This record gives sequence, structure tokens and C-alpha cells, in this order.
Amino acid sequence: MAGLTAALEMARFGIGVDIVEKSPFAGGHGIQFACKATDKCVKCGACVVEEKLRSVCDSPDIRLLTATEVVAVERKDRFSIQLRHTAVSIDPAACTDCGACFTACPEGAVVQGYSAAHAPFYAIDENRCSRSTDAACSRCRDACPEEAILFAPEPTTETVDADAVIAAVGFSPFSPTDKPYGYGLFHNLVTNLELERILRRTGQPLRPSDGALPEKIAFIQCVGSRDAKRGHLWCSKICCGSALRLAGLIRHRHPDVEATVFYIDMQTFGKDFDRVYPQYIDALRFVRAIPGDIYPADRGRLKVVYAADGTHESREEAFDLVCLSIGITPCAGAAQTLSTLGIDAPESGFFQPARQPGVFIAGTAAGPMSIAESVADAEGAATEAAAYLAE
Amino acid sequence: MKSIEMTGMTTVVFGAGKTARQVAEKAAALGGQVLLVTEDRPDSGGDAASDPSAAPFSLLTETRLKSCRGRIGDFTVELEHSGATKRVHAGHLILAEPDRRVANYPAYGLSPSDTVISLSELDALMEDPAAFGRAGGSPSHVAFLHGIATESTPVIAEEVITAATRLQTEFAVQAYVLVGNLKVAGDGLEALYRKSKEVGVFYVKFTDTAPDVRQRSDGAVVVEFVDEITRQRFSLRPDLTVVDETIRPAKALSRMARVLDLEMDENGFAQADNVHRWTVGTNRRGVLAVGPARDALSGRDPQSEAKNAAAVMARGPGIPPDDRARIEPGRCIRCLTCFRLCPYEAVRITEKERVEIMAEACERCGICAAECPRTAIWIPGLGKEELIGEKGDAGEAPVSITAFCCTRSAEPAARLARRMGLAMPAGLTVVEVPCAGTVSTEHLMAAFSRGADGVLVLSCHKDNCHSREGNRLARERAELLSKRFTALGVDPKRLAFGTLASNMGVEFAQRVDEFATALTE
Repeated sequence: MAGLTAALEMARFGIGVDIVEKSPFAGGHGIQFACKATDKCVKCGACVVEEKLRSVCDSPDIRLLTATEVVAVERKDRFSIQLRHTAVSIDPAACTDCGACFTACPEGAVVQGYSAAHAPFYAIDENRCSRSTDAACSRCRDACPEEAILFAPEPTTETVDADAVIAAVGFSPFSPTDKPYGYGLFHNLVTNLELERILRRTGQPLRPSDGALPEKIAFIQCVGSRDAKRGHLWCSKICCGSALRLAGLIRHRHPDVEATVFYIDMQTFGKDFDRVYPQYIDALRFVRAIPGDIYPADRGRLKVVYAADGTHESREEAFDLVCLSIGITPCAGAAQTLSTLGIDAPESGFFQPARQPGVFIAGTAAGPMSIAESVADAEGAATEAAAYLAE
Repeated sequence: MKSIEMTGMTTVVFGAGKTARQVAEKAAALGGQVLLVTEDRPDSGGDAASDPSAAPFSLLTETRLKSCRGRIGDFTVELEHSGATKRVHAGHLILAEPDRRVANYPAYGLSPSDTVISLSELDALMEDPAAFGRAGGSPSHVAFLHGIATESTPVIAEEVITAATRLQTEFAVQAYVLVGNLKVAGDGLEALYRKSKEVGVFYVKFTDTAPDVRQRSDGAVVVEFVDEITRQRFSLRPDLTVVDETIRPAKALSRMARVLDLEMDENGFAQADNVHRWTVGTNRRGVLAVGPARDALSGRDPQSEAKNAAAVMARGPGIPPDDRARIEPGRCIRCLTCFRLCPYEAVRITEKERVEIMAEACERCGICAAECPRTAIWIPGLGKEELIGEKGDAGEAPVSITAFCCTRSAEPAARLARRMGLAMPAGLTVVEVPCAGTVSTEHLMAAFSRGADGVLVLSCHKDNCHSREGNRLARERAELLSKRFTALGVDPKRLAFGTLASNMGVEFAQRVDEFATALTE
């Protein structure tokens, strides 16, 4: 979101922008979020990400390079940035989004986009594609009726010159594999980002194991945040708002579904928090305790163990679906490239403002932020970058 | 960074606090004159260190906003000072009135006394250690009541945690923080909270229970509670009790917002609770709500807010495209329906008492054209002939459906549904409109008379409309026409209204599929 916003602001100042995006689908995490409106908008901002992405795609001053990585950055009088494009790509001019490649690939290497602005709607994930080991595999290209899939002999490189750089590399979601929750082992244990994607693709909070609607859902907050053991001494800010809105949406569509939120401190979000929080208190069940363990139960359900409010006895309760509200952690893999740009990440690992002129950071690269805050932050970064370029 | 259009244009900034001054400085750097206007007196606080003569803006104190007409790049603002009116032509108007703190005494059933004070008063006291010693006679136990009766915010939480830490480390006082939900969703707050515990601040959290707080006739406080963790009963007799505060907008703000015809949120801040206003926008181009004027949490980072304001100001008014709404003077009967309905205040009454639309302010939502009782307003591209075209032939499709889709929501949802390969009825025609507010009764009837079996109007969700009420107006028109259909013996199910967002591809496909199924029954 920060990258898209900053690019649009720069374009408004008449400055040309190249956006370099590692993923085949621009829009970061926000573009994967579902609309969580009930009978009215809950101001989550997911639609704003869509709008900005569309504006970026429509802007003649912005070049959006997806499935492209930064290999090296050199600064002479301008920034010289070496880029690498994936070897396997789908030609947007030829692709008709038929999805034949998606069905043809046995490795699950063909991935789907999220937004109307993702053109083509499919892409090949290099990391899962077997062509790196078996250059003979061409199942996707063979399946394509439009000859839209292109295999380059090697990843292509390109060097671009720039006068300023904005690092909007986003965040990495906390991976809950070493929490005692069984993430990766239990099908019906998902992260909030995964639940967003499920809702986006199906409109329903379907259980991964059997595609059924859950009767009881648990949301566990602060997974990987406010965690001294891991040195994550921060609140990820957005997860309380995210969980309540997800629970609210699910119950709006399915009033019989029971949603329980396990939390430490409920965080404020939005201008109307005072008014909406009591409604959530009525509609949802809150337990002010973070569960200790999760065990498998029958029919794909999960037994959650926690200290009961009031009595503080250990209690077990079975849920059909458990959603972990995972924390925002520093963007993995960006530290090296960013340090050559004078951007360091001491202590927490989130990136600090650059030590050298002409380089700016924006968005969750710097720390946890909501979509609204990312927009504000990116507008500020673009204003500074434009001022720098004017000098 | 300069914008040529800014030079020679005046910017008026309302407010005298840090945010207002930062915005004023940024505006001055962009070129043109800057007026900083406040109702305050010259000597009342603010940024005492600033020398007015050195500032790049002119400060007008004891001055209030009286009226405003016009549009971005050409506002005519009347300011009142000592009974005299001053008229200013301005390009941008920035609201940055500082917020105010209201101490939550009533929420805790307390009255202010020597030993019961507010958070701001404590902060002031700690700046003067001698005064602090006098309060309650050198307190050794201080209790904070924070976010129990009402939910607090990270801004207040940071002040409570910081004050409690200072009490422990600088004043050798034992601080207790009795809190509901501790708001640590702010930069560095979790770390600050942990550090405060390390230096001895004692936190007691309340979930379903609340402490029993009683104030004796001498003003002293007794707090009793059952701690939720240990389930032990505690009795606290703090030497000093500190109640937290709620951040509220400046008192002058609601009056100013009314003068400027601005939307306000439910807390009285001059920016609607609408994602389309992010970050410092209002419903009126050229009028910005910045920092403490837009939200309770935005007053704490004046520099950031000023940068956001500068980004918008630097764009300038621009040249309006030639597809904006225009009124046909011969047909207009000056009923002022458009004037009253326009969410962007883009309609003006000229000196000759004609009604005109200011193209620079017009967002082309289509509401005025749809509501004009004389169809005197024309918007290029949005006429019913232009949108609906020739009589359609459903061909082999069982039903012909025309779906009016808002460009911000249903239209991208329709495209997403197609991209996702979701099945949709064959006879579906999507008619894209800039806002559902464009869709008038004439548009609906035109769709039916050109052969549609069913017509859908799909808009943005309630509270998500860029034009504020475009979706509501569209829904009311559709409902009214449905009622008329019933009276005429036409099946009212042939016309339906729904709301969507741009990322709801699945729901779009479901909606049109259900509609098509209902039509064939």
C-alpha cells in the first residue's frame, strides 16, 4: 500500500516512477484482504488498496514491474539499480484468464491473483516451479490455448537509473510454526491473513479440511506480538481491529456461528471505536487469556487449552476453526539491499530512516501500521522525495 | 518543491497550535501568502518561542471565520475581528484547530480536589517538583484511573505510562495504574510499558469488573477491588488520584465546519469517518482537516500531518476536465435542490442570482443531474442515451439484465468475477457509472424500455460512498420505482438494489446469479 501510494503521489508531482515488486501480484498484503462490511462499511481500507492499485495501473507515469527483484544497487551521481525478472512469465496481452495453466500444474506452482487489476490473473511461482530442476517441464505452456506462457532461457536482467529511491518493502507476517498451536499440522488452524484469503476467494469462512462452515471459531490475538521471549516488544496494532471485523463479518453472514476472541488488551481502531466496541462485546465472546496449547479433536476440530476467566482453572474447549492473529514482523530478506542504500534495522529489525539523502522509507517496512497509516506515511515520504528532487 | 499555481494564492490556516504552525510554514514554502487565524488571544499559550515577525506567515488572533464561498483556488472567506469584517481570497483552507482534553472525572464518579487531579494537571505538576510536593503533601502513592469506564487511546496510554514511570524514577513514588484495556497500539508503547513495570509501576487490569472508587467529603479517595488474577481483595488509599482524559475537538470546530459545509464525524472532528477522505481530505476540495482537527489521534505528530497537507496543497486546483456537470440556465428554476444536495459544495449562486456549478469542485458524481426536477443539469457521458445505448437484444440468453455499477465498487467487482472465471448470466450488461447517485429514475426506465428484463443498481456500502449519500439516493429511487411498479402491475422484483466493494468478485457473481434466477421464476 505504501509503495502504491508513494508512487501515485510522485506521479502527481510529475515525477516518473518505476515500482519494483517481487511478487507477481502488486498490492502487498492489503490487496488480499476481504471487504468486511456488514450492513455498512467498517473502514478496514481493503477497497482503498484496490483503488490505488487501479490508479497505478492507469497512470502513464508509473511503470509497474512485478515478479522483479532488486539484485544490486549502486550509487554514482544517480542510483543504478540492477533488476532480475523471472524466467517464466505469462504475457498479459495474450492471456485470457482461462485458468488452464492453473489446473495443469501438478506442483501448485501456478498461483492466482486477487484483484481485477491483476492482469494476468495467474502467474508462475518460481520457487515452486519444477523447471529449475527439470527444464523439460512445460505442462503449463502446453495447456495454454493462447500461447501466452513464455519461457526465457534464464531470468532476464535490467538496469534502471533513478534519482531517488523509496523503500516500501512492507512486512513479513509472523510464522507461528514454533508456537505450540500446531500451525502447519492442523488443517483448521489458519492465520488471519489466510482467513482473509479464504473469504476473498469463497465469500465464506470455510474450513480447509472439509470446506464446511464452522459453528465455533476462535481468534487468538497477539501471536508473535508483545512477545518478550522472541524479543517482539511491540504491538502489531492492526490485529485486534482485523479480528473483530472478521468475526463481525462472519456473524453478519452466519448469525449462528459463535466467535470467541482470546486477547490480552483490546486495541482501539477507527474513529467510531467507542460506538462499535459495545456492539462487538454483545455479538462476540471474549476471553482475556492467551491459550497455551492446542490439540486435535474429532472431526477436524481443535481443542484449545486456556486459563478460564475468574476461576483460572485450565479449561479445554473445542473449536471448528482457529484463527491466529499473527504479528507484523520486519520484512525478511530485504536487509542486505536496504543496507547498501543506507537503511539500517537495529534492535527490532524494522527499518530506520536512511542515512543518506535521496533514500526514503515508507509503510510497514518501518513498523506496524494500519492501511490508513501506511497511506499517510507514504504521502509524507513522497512529499519529502519530491522536495529532495526539486533541489 | 513549488507549484506555479500556488504563487499569488493565499492559504488560510485555522488554529494556533503546533500542527497549524507547521502547516503554515509548509504552505509558505510552497509560495504565496499564508494567514494563520485563531480565535485565541495573542498571549494565550501556543508556541511561545516563536517570534511573529520572523514567521513566514501572518498571524491573526481573536479572529473568527464568518463565512466562506467559492471553491479550491478561489475561496472568498470572511473573517471577523473586533466587529470588523475582513475579506480574504484564498486557494486553500486548512483546519488545524488544536484538540482539547476533557478529564474523565464523571466516568469514575469523582470530583476534582487537591488529591484528585487530571492527567494534564499531573504532567504540569511534575514539571514543577516544588508544586508537586505541595499537592496532597508529597504523595508516596499515586493511582491512575485509566480506560476503565471508557475505552482510552494510545495517545493517553503513552502519557499515563510515561507519567507513572517518571513518578517511580524521579519522584520516588509508587504508581498504580488501574486500567481496562491498555492501549499499546502505538510506536514503542509495548516497550515503554514493560520498562515501566521494571521500574515498579503496578498495573491492575479490569475486564468484567470495575474498581469501587469512592471519594470522601474531604476529597480523598478510597479504591477497593478484587484483583482478577489473584482474586484477592485490595483496598487502596492513594495520596493522589489521577483520572485520564478524553481527547475532544476544539470547541470552535463544529461551528467552523458548519460555516464551511463540511462533513463531521460523530465525535465532532471536521473529517467524516469515510475512507475516501484519507489522509487529510474533507468533502470539499481545497479544504483540508489536519492533525487535531480531523481525529483524536492525529494531533500528536504535527510534522507528519503538515507533510500530508503539503502533498495535497502542492497539487493545486488543476484544470478541471471538460466532463463536469453543467446547468442549462434556460431550464433552471433555481429551486436550489442541487445546491443543497451537492456533497462537494460545488454549486454556487452568482451575484446575478443564477445557479452555476464550479467545475473545479465538481466530482462528477451525477447526484445533481439525477435529482434536478427540471432535468436542467447535463453531465457529458452520463445521459441515459449515452449510458444505455440502443435497444439491446438478449439473444439466446434467458433474461436480459442491466446492472448499473459504481466505478469504485461493483464495476471492478464485476471485472474481478470475470477474471476469477465465475459463472455469470449470459444476458448481463454492466453499465459503469461514476457513482450510483448518477442513476436516476429516467436511467432506470430507459434500461427497461430498451428491453431489460431486470435492472440491478449496485453501489458502494453505506458509509463508503465517496459522494456521501449517492448510494442512499440510488437506493431510495430504486425503492420508489419498485413501489410504482407494484401499483402498475409490473413485477417489482425486476428492479433491485445492492451494495458491494471492489474486491467482492464472488459476491458480485452470486448477486447477479440470484437476481437472474429470481427473474426466471
